[in-house]
Parts: sequence; structure tokens; C-alpha cells
Amino acid sequence: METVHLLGQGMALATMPVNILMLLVGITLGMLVGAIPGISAANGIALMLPVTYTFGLAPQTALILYAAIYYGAKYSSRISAILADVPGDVGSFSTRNEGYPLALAGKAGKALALTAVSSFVGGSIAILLLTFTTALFADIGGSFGPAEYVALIAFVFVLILSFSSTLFIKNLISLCLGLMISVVGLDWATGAFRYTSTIPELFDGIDFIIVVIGVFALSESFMLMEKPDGGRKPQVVTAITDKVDDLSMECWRLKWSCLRASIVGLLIGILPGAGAYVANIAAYRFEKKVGAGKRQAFGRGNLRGLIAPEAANSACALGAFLPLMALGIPGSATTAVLHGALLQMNIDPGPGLCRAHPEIIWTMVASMYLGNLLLLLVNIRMFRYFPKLLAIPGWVLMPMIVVISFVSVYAVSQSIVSLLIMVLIGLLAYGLRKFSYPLAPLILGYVLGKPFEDNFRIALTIGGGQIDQFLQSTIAISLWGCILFSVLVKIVVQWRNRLQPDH
Amino acid sequence: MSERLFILILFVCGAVYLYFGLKIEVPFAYEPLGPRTFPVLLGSCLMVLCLLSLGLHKMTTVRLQSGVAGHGLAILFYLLTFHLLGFMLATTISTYAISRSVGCSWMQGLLTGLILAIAFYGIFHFLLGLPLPLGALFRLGS
Repeated sequence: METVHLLGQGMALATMPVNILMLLVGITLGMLVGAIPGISAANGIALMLPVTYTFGLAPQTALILYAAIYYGAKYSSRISAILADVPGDVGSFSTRNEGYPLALAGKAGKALALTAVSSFVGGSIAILLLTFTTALFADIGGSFGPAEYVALIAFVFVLILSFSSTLFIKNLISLCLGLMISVVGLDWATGAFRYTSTIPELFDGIDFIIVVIGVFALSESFMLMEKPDGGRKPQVVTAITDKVDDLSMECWRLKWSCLRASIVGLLIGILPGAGAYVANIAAYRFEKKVGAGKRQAFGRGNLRGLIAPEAANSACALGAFLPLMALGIPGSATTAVLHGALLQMNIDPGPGLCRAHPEIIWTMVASMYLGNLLLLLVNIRMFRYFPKLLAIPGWVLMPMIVVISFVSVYAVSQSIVSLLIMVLIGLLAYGLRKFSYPLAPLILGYVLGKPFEDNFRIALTIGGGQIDQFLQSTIAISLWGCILFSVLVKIVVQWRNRLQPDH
Repeated sequence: MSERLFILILFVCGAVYLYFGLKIEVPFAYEPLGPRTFPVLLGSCLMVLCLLSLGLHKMTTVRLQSGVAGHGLAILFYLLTFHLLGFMLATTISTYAISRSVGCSWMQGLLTGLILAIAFYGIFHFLLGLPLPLGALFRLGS
């Protein structure tokens, strides 16, 4: 009952004109960055950070905007996957397999409309789960002290290290670099300046916006430079010709695939580390295994294979909010950006977040209901205009990313040194991407590095330097137990892979 | 550019990080760990990881494309002239260079540059109230 009450209050806040406006702006922007291949949700949010900063938006309003960009982008990343065989975002990787053949067969409209519905279903299931579990977690989060927080962050690090699909050592290097960036600045406990030299821009640490823009936006412009046309195939479907009138029967027939995939996506989304890419592919493979032999073959426009990855993608994107809202822990690159944005607005995102700022959490949840519904309406009604979104030429897009990056960083710090740091971080991130190092551990390490070190040292100080301070409470012990378990699982999996090298 | 070179750069970064980490000093330690432990740990971790990955996994070589190098130069130019030429002029020139390297006509490039420069200056100056640099060069005479 309390949940309904809180949600009602959240809804009252979410329907304030400014919040509705920001929801609309966020969804439009999200659809845009999601549809254009190469620009991801994290880019979109990074580029909006200075705008909210200068307008002085209230925290919940800003979060509504960022969240809308995030799930809007995940919603619309299917557009270019279906029409041009290029995923608009990594989260729609498997949607191409069935979507593009359908589009070539002249059924692009049907494919877009069906995936819109399945995304909506996936997203709605995730939001329902958020609504009814956040309050539960908030009670646990209230009993977190420094020692428990350290264990929680360590758990997130272990999960992201073991879930990333790249080589383990590359994940570790990426995480290490992120932590190294987070160390820069004034040390709270001793007043020592670390790695600041005499540059005032560094005294307060490397600014969050500088890191995010360098890592996501600027490195992206380098990546785009390698294939100026976005790697598009010559055969892009430019006009949607088929009629889409009655989909309700079709949707009803596919309900089980949709539900299955949503649950797969949701489970992957809640666990920190895996992300939409894994959810998308896992749902597709799962559907292929379960639905094999029924009706037509996969890979040539199977409708079940088309909707499953999209439902999983949306469920995963919204499910990733659960650890963020309940425990203040980001689990993916984009939620890490949201986490940092909270810090920018002087809100301490930690296990106590949901208890200290219920209004922010519930306004965001309420706005997600509205946003998801709006996305469904827009996507069903206006899909005929989608091919236009893909027509933005590279020679407008690329300089625009560069200019926006520079201007955004300049807006927060007005100094050339910050721009220089941003360019250096961008180059580093480009190198990392080029040699297939994942960026998520880096950004998580950067965002969580500071709280990790600070709480570690606070806990040690409380315990008078005794290491058993970290094993005092049940929560801490069970978290360390989880960490041990994940490490063991990872070792066993690695071991088995080594035994079967051809697998 | 080979991955080996990239890892070597990271290794050197780790070494520099470690060196400056060791030089962090505090007059009085209030707590058991002190500000030096984490940086030293991270610097040495990165060095060990770089060595490990040099020994453990296969290295790839990626050719540095001329387009990417040109893009890097354009960004460097933008960075250096941002204050000197002012936002408008620097943006127009760099945008023109980037657009041309992606392959458009000179007219399209010039228009993109001008429109981006004026639009962003307008948005930031009038809407958001953030002054962008007008150019140190033009103030020399006055």
C-alpha cells in the first residue's frame, strides 16, 4: 500500500509541466541518438549534462530527462537495425538477424510496429518490477555502513569484470585505468593533493563531464571517422510501403515469446555488468532454441526471433535501474553516467539514496510509466518517418559531435586545460576501443573509485586498522561470500573453456 | 599501430603514475592507510597487468587510417585555436576540415561550419548565458 502511495506522489510530481516537457525532450533526443548508428545513449546524456547544469534543473527533472534519453535510445536502436542492417546501439545487435530480411521483403512497417509493441511489453514488465521491489531494497540499504558499502562496490567490480565478453585481463586494465583517474584530486582525509601538480582544474578531481565526454563522445567521433558512412550497406530501405492496420492478433500470438524474452532481459539487466548487448543476444539464442522447428526458419524474417531481442533489450535497460535506485550502485556504463550526474547535483548516491531522496526515485519511476507509453504511441503512429532519421549525412554529424564535446566541456570549466584533458582522455578511450578493451569497467571504476577508497579508509579508521572490521555484519559477510562465489564460478568457467579449446 | 605499442604506452603511464604516487607526502598521518596506498597499488597493478597481457594473449595490429590521423590533427588545431581565434572562427575552420575529410563538397563543408558556429554561439551566448571565447587575436589592437 505504501508503494502505491509513494507512486501516486511520484506521479503528481512527474506530471508537473516542466517534468512532462523534459520527458518529451528526453524521448525525442533519445529516439534520435538511438536511431543514428554510432551515437549511443551515453553520448546523448553526456552531451545534455552541461545544459541541465546551466539551466539549474531540479534533480528529479534532470534525472527524468536522462532516463528518458536512455530508454528512448534503447527503444529506437532497432530502427537502423531493421532498415539498414546496422544496429543503432549495441543493444540491438541481434535484431538485425530477422529485422533486415523482413524489411527487404517489404515488411519494414510491420517489423517496426511489432518491435515497438514488444519493447513496450519488456519495458513495462521491468518498470512494474522496479515499482514493487525498490521499497524492499531501500530498507536493506538503510543498514549499510562503510564496510558494507566497500563490499558492495567490490561485488560490482567483480561482476563487471567477469561478465564482460572481452578478455578478462583487458577488463582488468580498463578498470584499473578508471580507478586511476578517480584518484586524481584533493584527498579528503589528509588534505594531500594527488597528481594535481599546480593545475587548479585538477584540484577537485577530473570533472565528471570531462571524463564522460572524452570517453564516449570524442572517442566516438574517431570511431566514426574510420567508416564515414556509418558502415551502412548500400541497400538501405528508404521508404516504408506496407500497410500496418491490425496487429493485435499478431501480438497476441507472440505473447509467450515476448514474455520469455522480457524475463531473460530483466534478469540480465538487474545483475551489474552484463548489459543490453548480452541481453539482446541471449534472448535471441534462447528464442531460437525454444522456438526452433515451429513455423519458418530463423534468419529469414522469423517474427519470434524479431521481437524477442527487442523485448529483452528494453527490459534490460530499465531493469538496470534497480541496482541504481535501490542501492545507489550503477551496473552499466549508462547508469554509471546517471550515477555521476546525481553526484553533480549534490546528491549522494549510495545505499541510502532511496531512503534519503524518495521523491527523486518515485518521480523517476512514475515518469517511466508515462515515457514508456509515449514511446509506444510515437513508435506505432510515426514509424513512416523513421527512414528520414537515418538520412543525416556523416559530414554534418561528425563535426557536430566534436563541436558539442568542446562546447560542453568549456561550458562547465571555461579553460583550455580541461579541453586538453578531455582530448587526452578521448584519445586513450579511442585506443582502448580500437584494441577491443571494454569501456564500461573504466567508467564504473572512475565513478565508484572514490567512494570505494573513501569508505575503505573510513572503515579501517573505525576499526583501528584491523582488517576484520570488514567482516563484522551479516550483510558484509554475505556480500563477501557472493564475491567469493562469483570468483569461483568464473575460475571454473575459464577452466572448462581451456579444457575445450574448440568450444 | 600495434597493440604492443599501446600496452607499452600504458606501462609507461603506470610507471609514471607509480613514481608520482610514491612522492605524495603528508606531514601527519591521521589514519592507518594514508593517501599514498591506493595510487601506489594502482600504478603497480597497471604495470603488472601490462606485462601479463604482453605475455599472455595474442597481439593485434591495427593500421592507423589517414582519415583518423587527419581527424586527430583537426581536433588538435581546434584545441589550440579555441582561445586564440575565438569560438566562431576556430569552429568554422575545424568543422570545414572535418567535413571535407568525410567527403562532401566545399560548399557543404563551409555551410556546415558556418551554421554550426553561429548556431552554437547563439545557443550558448543568448540562451544559456555562457560566454564562448570571441578570440584573443582580435583584442590585440584594442
